[in-house]
Amino acid sequence: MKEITESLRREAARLLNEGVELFIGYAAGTRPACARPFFVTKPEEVTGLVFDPFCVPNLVKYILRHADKKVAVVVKGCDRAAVDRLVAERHLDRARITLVGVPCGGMLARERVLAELGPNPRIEAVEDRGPSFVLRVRGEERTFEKRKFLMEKCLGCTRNNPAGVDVMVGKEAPPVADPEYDPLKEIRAIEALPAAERAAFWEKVFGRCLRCYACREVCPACSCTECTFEQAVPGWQQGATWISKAKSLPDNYHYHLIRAFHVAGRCAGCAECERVCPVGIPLMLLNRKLAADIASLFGETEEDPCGALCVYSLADPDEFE
Amino acid sequence: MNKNGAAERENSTWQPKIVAFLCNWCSYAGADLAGVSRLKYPANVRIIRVPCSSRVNPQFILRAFQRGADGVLVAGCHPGDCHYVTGNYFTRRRLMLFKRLLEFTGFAPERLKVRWVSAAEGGRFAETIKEMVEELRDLGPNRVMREEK
Repeated sequence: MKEITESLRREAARLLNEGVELFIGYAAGTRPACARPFFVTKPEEVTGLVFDPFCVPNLVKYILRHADKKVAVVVKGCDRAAVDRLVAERHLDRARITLVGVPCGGMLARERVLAELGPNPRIEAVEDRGPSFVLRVRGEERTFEKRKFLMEKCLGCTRNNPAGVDVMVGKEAPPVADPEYDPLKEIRAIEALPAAERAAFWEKVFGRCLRCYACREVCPACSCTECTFEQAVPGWQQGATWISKAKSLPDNYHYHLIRAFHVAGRCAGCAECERVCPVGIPLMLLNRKLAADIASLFGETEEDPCGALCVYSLADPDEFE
Repeated sequence: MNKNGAAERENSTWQPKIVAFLCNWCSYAGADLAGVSRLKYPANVRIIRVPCSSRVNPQFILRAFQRGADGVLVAGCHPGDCHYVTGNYFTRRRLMLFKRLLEFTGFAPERLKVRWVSAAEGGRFAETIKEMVEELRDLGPNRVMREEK
């Protein structure tokens, strides 16, 4: 991964010298096996930039806060689709942003790696060897097989080399998708449950929700300036808002169903919502279920920039009599 | 269905509550026709008139469930007959998807019904309500999303 990091720093310095005001990339996090977003404005700061299989955060949404500047941003294959989403909805001007694509060999699931290495490892170097990652810890090489240690979203990934970027860093990465991985396996398992057990499963899952709205904040498809769940109304009108501020199970149901439905057909599949959830709600189950239903009901051929629910077809199945 | 539900179902005084969102141009007129034709149908339905079936935000449906509805009916013009030409095509897509999402998260799919009812179909409206009340009687009260008072 050393070569990618080095050429990333070179490209960043070049872009900053050529008039880019802000370069958004990754730096090593304060915790082990973790990366944080890193905002570079001066060429001499590029030495902080890194790229390794712990650079999970999707940086695309940060551009929204700097839409008035010339911004360059590091995108992995899965983050790339989020840019198209924001451009199609006219939140971003594609001409003003420089996309720096990095070939991605998959992202390691932090908790599984730490379970293997112990709580506080010092990872000195990471190397991508195709089917596995090799981490050097205290001078010792440890092999992590991708099939076992990659994040769930990477197992079925077929777009690890971002397409349509302005600058590409490093060599093309070999495909990471595990041919045996079935993205719908869990969804089918839930669908096969009897209704009462399914209800019990979701009741347990939604019951955990704290309504911290982290899943909304991080999602590049959730980009309304005023959210339906947080309307600016005075206190005496709060009774008329969609959901109350208090935490209750019916309101949690309402929030999660509508959140999933609002991004239906527009979700880019970066799985950030699930990653940031402090109580581990499997949000991607809802997102993937909706995407699968859209594909099977309306076909994948229809490409509308605003998503499958903004268009219709006379040929849609008519299941309502 | 929990124990409470079964107990309430046994209790003969329990009546299912239905919230019906009816499109102004077809289904509301259909319900009106059922009325002026003196067709008999159960009085379990509370009608809300909307300008078009595509005005029905899925949040309306969830809110109705939260506030104590046992079933929700959304009715609009037959596809092709929409007053706004394309409204009900959007309804069709949206609610087809939403219904599957509800089912996935443990709702009984019978609790949300979507029907196309034209202004001339008073009988069909009455039938739909009768049918829904029977189905909901079998299912019992909705507990999944109900806000306890």
